[in-house]
Amino acid sequence: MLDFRKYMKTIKQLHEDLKNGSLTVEALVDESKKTIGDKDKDIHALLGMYSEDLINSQIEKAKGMFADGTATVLTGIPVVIKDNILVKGELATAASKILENYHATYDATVIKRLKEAGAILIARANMDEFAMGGSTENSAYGTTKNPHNINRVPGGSSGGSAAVIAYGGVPVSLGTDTGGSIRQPASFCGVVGLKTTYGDNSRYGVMAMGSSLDQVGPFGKTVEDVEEVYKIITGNDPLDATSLPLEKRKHDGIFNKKIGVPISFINREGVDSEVLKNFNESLEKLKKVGYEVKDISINQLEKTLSVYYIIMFAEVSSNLARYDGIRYGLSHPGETSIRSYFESRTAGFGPEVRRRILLGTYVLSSGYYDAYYNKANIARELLKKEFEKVFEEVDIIATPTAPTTAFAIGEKSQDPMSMYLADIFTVPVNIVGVPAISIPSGKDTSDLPFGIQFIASHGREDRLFTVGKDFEKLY
Amino acid sequence: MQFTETDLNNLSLLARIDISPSEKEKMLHDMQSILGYISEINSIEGTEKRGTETIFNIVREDVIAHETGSNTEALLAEAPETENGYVKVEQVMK
Repeated sequence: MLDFRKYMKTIKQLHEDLKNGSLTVEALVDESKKTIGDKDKDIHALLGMYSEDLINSQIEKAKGMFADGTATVLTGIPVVIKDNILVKGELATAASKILENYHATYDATVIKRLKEAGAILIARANMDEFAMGGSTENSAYGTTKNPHNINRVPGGSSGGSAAVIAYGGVPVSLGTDTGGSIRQPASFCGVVGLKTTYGDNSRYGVMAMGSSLDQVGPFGKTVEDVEEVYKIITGNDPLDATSLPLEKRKHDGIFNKKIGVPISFINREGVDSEVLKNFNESLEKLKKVGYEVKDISINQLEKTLSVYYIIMFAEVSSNLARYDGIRYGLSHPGETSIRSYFESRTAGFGPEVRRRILLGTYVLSSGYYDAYYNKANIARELLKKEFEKVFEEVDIIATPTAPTTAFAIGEKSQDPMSMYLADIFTVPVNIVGVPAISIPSGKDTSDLPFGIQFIASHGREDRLFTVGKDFEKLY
Repeated sequence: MQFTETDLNNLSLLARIDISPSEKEKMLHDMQSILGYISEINSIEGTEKRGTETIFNIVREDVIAHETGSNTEALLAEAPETENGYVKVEQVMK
């Protein structure tokens, strides 16, 4: 029998084995399924496997690509997909009851790209309902457990996509990040997670939550693996008008290894002392390998959580108006046509989703629009300008990914405000639209992983990969 | 700022979401706590508008993207109720 972990090191190594014939695509997929079969009953990272038809057709395609020399580094590699990304003909529930029996009618562009690259899509990842949450406790289908300690959350909302990497089910997976939903679970599960520049890849076929904030991105065990998936999914797409045309992407300038740290923002109430200690140790290690670290100040960071939540609530209330029980999804007929909307939406949405829709309706309502939504947009512009200025001085901004390591299941689920505060370091990135990566940086005294977040300016994922690979060698 | 039960009832109507009597108290409490926090935004001063650098038009030729009816079957298969190739809904006016 194959030792799966031996094949789980990097996808480049797997690719070599597949190419020279020491490993077959079928054997790799079987091992992936076997690991999932063994581990997922305890972890519940997945909502279900994709159909045998889909898996087998991709296996055949991958074999053909190896045979005719067109194989890419992702050909034959098993991949898990967050369940808010559409795969034609397959269930796509966003972990919501309202889409319990919904089958996608087309492929998302990122899925089309993975399929064309010969990747084997094998399973759907658990998540917080419609990507709203930071723990997967808001899934309508049960909480995912953290593979490092099953009494802890894996983070969220892309908790399933992170946990399946951590237990070795697949080498890479896709998640989505609206306010930290890739980076925070990556940190909690001890894996690498990348949130790309807004507009870097296509959102076509990805269920919208906060349309000015959402981005798809990869998880993996190493920076290199994440980079390989990034290379496949990046690109302009005419079907997503917010995906950046290639000529608008900047890739010039010298990398001076200068890291900015907003020290006063990080040293705040609610940030665990072990997290701070680990973060400072990480900075010291980076200094030893030639990085310069300097203090930076960004005034608008203090209000970022409010800015993020107002804009996100507003976009959620608009985006989720489409789930009406008429064209697809759960339908509970009412006495009148308008009552049908109430019955279907009330039965189909969980508490957090309902709360966010109501809050979004409030901040957009006449009389409060100027006081909330408009003010948030002004603050967003101010923050963007501050970031632009800081990036004239430094190449990278570093923070801890999250203020704590993985918290206990149930610890924050009854108090939404405490859950929201856990996003403090990740949300500024989505507000500004820049790319960021979370990379494991050791473990705390309870043996739970820490993560460090590196942020680059628009379009500079390359710098994240450079600093990320340098950093990986230090742990 | 006071967020009252009346406000909650109005939002419920606008958002087409019922709030059951048993969950009303907690929902009211959570919303008051969240709105209390985000109200700090009211003190922001400024008139900044979104930068034109990041906003530009995306246009395409107005051509037929796919054959008429090629997606109809798959889309209708997801609808809760259909009749003769249409999505069936409750009568709107009686």
